[in-house]
Amino acid sequence: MATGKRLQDESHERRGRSVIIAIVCSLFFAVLLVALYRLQIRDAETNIRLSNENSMRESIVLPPRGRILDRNGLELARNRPSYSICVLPYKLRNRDAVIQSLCKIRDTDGTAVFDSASLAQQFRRANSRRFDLTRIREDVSIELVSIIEERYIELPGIVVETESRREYPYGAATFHAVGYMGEIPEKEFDTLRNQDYYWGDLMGRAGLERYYESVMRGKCGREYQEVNAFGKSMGAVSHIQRIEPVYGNDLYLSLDINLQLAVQKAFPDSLKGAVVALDPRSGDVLVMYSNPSVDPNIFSAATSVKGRTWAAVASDRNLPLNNRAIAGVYPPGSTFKPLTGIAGLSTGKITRDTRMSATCGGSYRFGSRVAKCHKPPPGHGTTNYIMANQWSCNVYFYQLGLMLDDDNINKYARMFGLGALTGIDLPGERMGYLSGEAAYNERFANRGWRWTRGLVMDLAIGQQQVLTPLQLAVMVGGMGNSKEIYRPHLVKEERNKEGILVSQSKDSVIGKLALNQYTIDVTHEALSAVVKPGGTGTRAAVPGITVGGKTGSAQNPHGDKTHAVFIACAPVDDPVISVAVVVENAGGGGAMAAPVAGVLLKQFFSENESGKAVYAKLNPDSPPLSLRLAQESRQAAAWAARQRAEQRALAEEDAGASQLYQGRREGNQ
Amino acid sequence: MIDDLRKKNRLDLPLLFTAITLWVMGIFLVYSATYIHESGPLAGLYKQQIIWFGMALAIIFVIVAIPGRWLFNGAYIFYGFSLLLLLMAIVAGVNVMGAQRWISLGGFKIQPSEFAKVGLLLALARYLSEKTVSLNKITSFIVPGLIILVPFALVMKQPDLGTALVFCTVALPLFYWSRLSLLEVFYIVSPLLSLLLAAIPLLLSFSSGTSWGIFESIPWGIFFIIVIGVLYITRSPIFLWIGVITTNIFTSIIITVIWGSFLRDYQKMRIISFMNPQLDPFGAGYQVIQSKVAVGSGHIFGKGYLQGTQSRLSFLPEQHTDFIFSVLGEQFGIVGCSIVILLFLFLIIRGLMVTHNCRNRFLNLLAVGASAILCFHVFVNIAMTLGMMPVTGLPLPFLSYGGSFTITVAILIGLLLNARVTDQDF
Repeated sequence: MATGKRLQDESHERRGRSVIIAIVCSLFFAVLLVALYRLQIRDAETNIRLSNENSMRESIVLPPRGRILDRNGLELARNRPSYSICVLPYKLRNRDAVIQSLCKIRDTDGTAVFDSASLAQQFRRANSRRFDLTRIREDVSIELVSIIEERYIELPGIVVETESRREYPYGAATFHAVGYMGEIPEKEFDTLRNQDYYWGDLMGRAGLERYYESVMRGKCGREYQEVNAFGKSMGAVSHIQRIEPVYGNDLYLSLDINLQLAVQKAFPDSLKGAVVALDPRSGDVLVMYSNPSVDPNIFSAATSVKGRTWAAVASDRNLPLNNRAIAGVYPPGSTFKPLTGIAGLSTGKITRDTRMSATCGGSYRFGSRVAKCHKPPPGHGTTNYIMANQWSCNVYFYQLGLMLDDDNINKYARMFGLGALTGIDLPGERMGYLSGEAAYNERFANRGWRWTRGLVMDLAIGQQQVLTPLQLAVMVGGMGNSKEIYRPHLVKEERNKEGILVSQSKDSVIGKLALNQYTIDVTHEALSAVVKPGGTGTRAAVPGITVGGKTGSAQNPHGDKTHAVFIACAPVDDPVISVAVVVENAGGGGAMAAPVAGVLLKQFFSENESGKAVYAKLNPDSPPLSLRLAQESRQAAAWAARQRAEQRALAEEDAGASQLYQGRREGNQ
Repeated sequence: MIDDLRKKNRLDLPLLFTAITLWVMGIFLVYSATYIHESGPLAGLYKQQIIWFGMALAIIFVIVAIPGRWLFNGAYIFYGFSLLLLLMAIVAGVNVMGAQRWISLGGFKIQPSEFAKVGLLLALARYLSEKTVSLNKITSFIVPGLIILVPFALVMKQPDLGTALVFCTVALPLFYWSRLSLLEVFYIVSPLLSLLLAAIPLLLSFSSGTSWGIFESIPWGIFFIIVIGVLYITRSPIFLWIGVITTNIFTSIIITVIWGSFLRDYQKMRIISFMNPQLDPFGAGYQVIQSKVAVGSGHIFGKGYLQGTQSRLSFLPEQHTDFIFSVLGEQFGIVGCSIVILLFLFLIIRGLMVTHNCRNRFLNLLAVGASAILCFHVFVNIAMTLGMMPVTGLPLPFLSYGGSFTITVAILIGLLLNARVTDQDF
């Protein structure tokens, strides 16, 4: 037991030392409990938040955008499903085998859709986000989608993703009114990020798409998904309610796409310009066309296509993105003369039959300045007001201008809504410029130019001020309507997804016309004289309808040819349509602009519902205008055929004669 | 009468039941940590852990049945055997994550460093049961020092810093039990405290980007004055003065020199990120941040069993092994954590209390050492999970998944129970 004794511990020492060790252990554990308190109680809030951020991903459910429809219910902008081929790297078992299978896929014309080198590169890039879809081919055909889906067994990890793209069935015809979609510009993102927008979202960038962005976009829904550390979604979070998206509303326009298409067709392709048609009774915009135009579908095309076309469009010197109907400012030229006339008639300076002291000999001498009339000597001779309009005699209006002064002219111009924004529901409208002594001196102060009285002559014939085609259409509508000016607007109604009316645009009067009946009557007579045989605007005439109009050939500093301008309203004494046509650097308004208006007016009175109704009311005994026009065109064709036949007969006669002659000569030999 | 008392408490049932409770909790936590994996290496791990648990129970009863004398006689043999396994790990080990900790034995992968903990405990207990150590007789530390140093060096070679630290810390209470006074323990620990106090200001000034100049040495200076005061008050002999002062100055100087001249900034950065994981959230600090968030988000009652988002969604690497406590913290909150920590404390104190009724020095040393090993593991692991300590790779007894470690813990529990059962003279 000797060893045994050595192995004995004293009792009191055992207790003492074990208690000391136990106390040290307890102290260590107390430290742990304090640390637990700090983490789980004191910092619990922070840690719970961090934990939630860690494990939850908010996914945004974007609602379908509202459509845009014309007055007949035809879609001008809609959403189409678009298919993209994507890769989900974590499901990709054998990358090379999948690449090989994809490379075997051939298009309908037999070319391979994918090539292995670029696929390998795309797969490598996609690998960095293993649980996210990465697009390898955007916006592919439905045929390719069906091929891919047939072969899904060979292609693990290849997924077809469906998304929504904006589509514009009428393409370039409606581009400027409808606008287009694009990614949020960087400088706007800071303000938009608080309004439910996310980086990379599409938004309306121009036209109605832009103006009614908030209406058509709807409200994003939210869904919370639980994700693990690799970003893989583990399904929706059950205890957090999914926030349903609010669908965007549809816009119903006053625009008539058939009229719009007719205008697009009639407008000279190679020339720049704009056409606006309004209903002067309400401000409804019936037509808004600007040339050159762009097919807005390119903006929603696949990234690769978009890049190429966008560069071409953006650098085009003809500025096709510009909506010339509201943002193009042109000197109105002679189309302003009726307004000068209204000022003269209203103030009693002239009557219908007033003849000016100086007769038109092709020019007018004011001080040292000799201002020309567009008709070279011998000029228009002596004219009354109606004839001066019908022939667009400058000399007559020079003198009227001098009688009125700039203040008087501009007073009436403002009455017709000129010199101010019309307030149309489109972004980017310009207000033009009315000139006049004060405005001129201010505008050209830096060049040191001063207003002189002679400039009133230019003001009277529309060479001083600049106006937009939209303003011209509003103006001429007012001349016909002669009571009120309405704010032009494109959107008539907003309807929700179920088609229930959400809001309706109210016709708002932006100007009351205080004109006496005499002025109104004379103006109507003057305007209709222009379109009547002998006037400058006969090509805008519509059978059975009294069209009132005015041509203009506006001189401008940008080209040697004048801008062709034509304004019209019909029927002139109670118009249901007013039109303004501007063709840049095209020449005379009667030759270049009036025919476009003519096509538009004929189309309106033969095809548009309200146009047809008015036509039938005014011509109770006549067949519908469409038949009449067809008949006329048949007659014209028959006449042309007769002409050609006559000519052919004449030519044959000649040929026969010469043959006869030749025969004789042969006989002689 | 004493005999009657002993017979009543033949088997320490509270201790055994505490251990079993913790093991069962561990199985549920391992399931919670891995059930999300339907396939792969982590799928169905809890089943494996149930098997380990069964083996652990068997081992406990085997060890309880072994007479204490056999343990005494076999101590050095087991120690030698565990050293052999450590050598094998270095020579023919399987490299896992940059460390050769595993060897294959007949289809089983085992971690020799785990068994080395037991081997070292047995050898030290046997040596110290016959000899005492004292700073007054510095040569008395030579043999126990060597007993520690050999496995220490082998484990550091792997490298496995955590286990190496276990070897050092298990020695301290055993030395204490062998008649070392608290004062002597303080002297032994003082160089380590010097090192920490000299290093912490350096780390802080580096991470804050400002140089504190002479103020960096203030904490160490205060400590050093305390050490000298203690030496003076206790009228320590001159050789102690020399030894303690030189080691304290030496460690503080060497840490300053290493920090100032040898470590590059990126190496400093790595050390810093141990201390402040927020500085390196996606590197070394990632685990710790995620673990803290997991535990912290548990709040009072936790998110509920199997409801943890942090752990279930794989934000925590190693959550079924080293970071199992974060699963507990997230799903059961401070209530669950406190209960488990108190269970551990109860187990350890109960283990120490074995010595109250046991006169056998060898068995007492085994009990103290086993308790110390468990205590050190629990503290270091939980402190690491809570972000208070660098990640060392020490698992949490009972709760962490792992075969070798579960068996080691079973052996330790077996030794604690054995001491009571086989209180005998030999």
